[in-house]
Amino acid sequence: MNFRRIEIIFLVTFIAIDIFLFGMFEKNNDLQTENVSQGDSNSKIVKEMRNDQIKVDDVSNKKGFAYYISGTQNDVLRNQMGQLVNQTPRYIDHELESEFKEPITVSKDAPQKTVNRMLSDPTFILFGDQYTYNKELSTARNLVYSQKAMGSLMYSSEAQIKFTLNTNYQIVSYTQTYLQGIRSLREKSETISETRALIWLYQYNEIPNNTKVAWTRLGYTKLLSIDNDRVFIPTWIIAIKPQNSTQTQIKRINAFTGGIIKETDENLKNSQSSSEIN
Amino acid sequence: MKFSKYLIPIALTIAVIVSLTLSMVLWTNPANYRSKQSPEQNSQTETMIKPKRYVYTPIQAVYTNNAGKQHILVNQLVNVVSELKRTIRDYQKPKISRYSSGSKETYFKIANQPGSVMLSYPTPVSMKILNLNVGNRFKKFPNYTVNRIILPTNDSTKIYLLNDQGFKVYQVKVSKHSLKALNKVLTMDMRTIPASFKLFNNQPLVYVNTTVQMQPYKYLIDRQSEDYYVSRLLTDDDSQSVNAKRRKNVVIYGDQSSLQLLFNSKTRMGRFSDYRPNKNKKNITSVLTNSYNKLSDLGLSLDNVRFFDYDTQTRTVMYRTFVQGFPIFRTNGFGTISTRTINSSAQRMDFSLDNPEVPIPSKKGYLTLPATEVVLKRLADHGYKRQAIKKIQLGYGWKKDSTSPLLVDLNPDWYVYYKGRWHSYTEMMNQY
Repeated sequence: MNFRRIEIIFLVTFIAIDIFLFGMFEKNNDLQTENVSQGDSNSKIVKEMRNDQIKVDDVSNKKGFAYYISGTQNDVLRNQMGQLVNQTPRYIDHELESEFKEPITVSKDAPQKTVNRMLSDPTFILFGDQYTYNKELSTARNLVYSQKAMGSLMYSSEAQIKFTLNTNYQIVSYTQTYLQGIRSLREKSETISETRALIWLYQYNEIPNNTKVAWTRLGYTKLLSIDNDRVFIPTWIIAIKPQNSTQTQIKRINAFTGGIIKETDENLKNSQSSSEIN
Repeated sequence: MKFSKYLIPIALTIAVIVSLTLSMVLWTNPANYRSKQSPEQNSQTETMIKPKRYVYTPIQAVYTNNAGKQHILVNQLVNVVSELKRTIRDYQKPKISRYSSGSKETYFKIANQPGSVMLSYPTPVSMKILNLNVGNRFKKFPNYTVNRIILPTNDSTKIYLLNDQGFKVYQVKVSKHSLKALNKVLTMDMRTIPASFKLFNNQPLVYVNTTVQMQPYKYLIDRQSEDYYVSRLLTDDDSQSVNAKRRKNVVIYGDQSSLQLLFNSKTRMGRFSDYRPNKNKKNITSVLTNSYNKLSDLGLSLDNVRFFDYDTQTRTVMYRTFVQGFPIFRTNGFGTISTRTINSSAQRMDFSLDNPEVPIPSKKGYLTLPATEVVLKRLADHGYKRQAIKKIQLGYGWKKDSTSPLLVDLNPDWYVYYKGRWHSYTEMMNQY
């Protein structure tokens, strides 16, 4: 009986020790994963952002790959605009402006679907197959198509088509800009993740409190122009909306370096046009 | 009754065993010791600076097809070496054995075996460094130095590691693995240059067999301010006053005693001298690790910067920026950054203040460069001693652009390691 009691005492003690050791073991494991992956610290900052009343949807930690790309601004649109049918095109300063003689009726709910079907017709739009509908930049009255580049889109006023709709859901006119000879300047390199981009922007104090991150996209934006050549870099384009407001603000983060892309004169022109759209 | 009689002893035994096991695990787990002392790194530097495995990577891939024909694989849309490296991270149960040593015949038989890819470091590294590139799978191997990895494309149980010095061959046996990924890389969008791997001056060398088309590049320069380096390198210890002296093209910043930072605005070079005591380690792993730490102190992004050379005599480690897989050489043969341990109380780091950042479309067409054998012959005809040529390789020369100080022209050329320094072939041919 006495021996049995001793056994029970030992058992209880050892179970206590086990629980303690197991606790230590778990804690160690946590520390280890924290050291190895920085994902943890990322999510911490995202949490911090949410504490600052910044609304952020689920963001991805996935890194991607992208290129430095270039394209040339030339007069190829002017040279080929003669083949357009049912419209009166004008070419001013590398931009094609055209009005349809007979407005084109589009689907009410999804006007882009009608346009998508016609896009491959070179008498309707020049190089139409090189553009894709851009939901973010489009509004009820404007359909924006961005030029494609290396599996992504160019967010630039120098590489887009903007259709103007009237109240009867008819396309009355459009403007088009086009860059020719899109090519990569260097082999692909790793880009930072969406989460990282948001964190950088937040740490640059570019996301005010009480705002909402409306959308983020990885696209190409213009870095610089040399004569007629344009150099584009992969950019995290982040739209920020003050809560209970519809006005969005576009911010850009260099997806290679994480640096913020400040509005230079040229970029300013772009951003104005994109905020106009919004 | 009988059951409950055994219940307590059994439970007690289990409890004892569990506690013993857990204690063992806890004691042997390195996390125990590491966790507290590693401070939380600044998240900014973490993403900015490329990891060690990025810098200490093989820089060239040569493919030997099943018929034995060899080609250098050149980056086009993808970085060939990175893509290949991605396929070698998951070897199971690797076992290393010495295969041969000193036999040139065996060395080249393995290196040139039909159906294989050879990944080469420019100069030997230790297994601990190579291990960074294979997902830590070789961590238990002895710390041999090697500079080439041979990946057979149709043998899924073996790979080979070579060291040019002493023609050493190591065989690594691994569990059967899929070769699909490796063979898929070989079909990617890339350029190939006909080549052959053979002896030159008793050293293995990748010869280019035909004339090569190389594209000149133009780059926008990334320029950090002097303040940036001063704040990163000089002000870490209790911010003693930093003083500056200016003489002609040279500005010298220093704290009272141990640290000095020098900028030469004419050569656009910086030099950081550190006279604090250091561990003065001589083995290659420590030197390279220490050198990488210095690089991260410097705070450049290290985009496309790769380990290029380690001189065991002077303990100088050289890093170069790569363009489409080829290294950049400045006029004096310098690369991008070099670190050197002089003795236990002096370390030095030289770095370029201008670094290529953004490629700019170049209007110049491709340039044609002669084959290796032709270059060697012409050099010999010009009076250069063939025996004095240690290495020869394709690279890009750094030239200031005439239109803007922020642009640099990178022109392809052959680079020859002659009498202790890298010279461009064009410069050597123009000299006499």
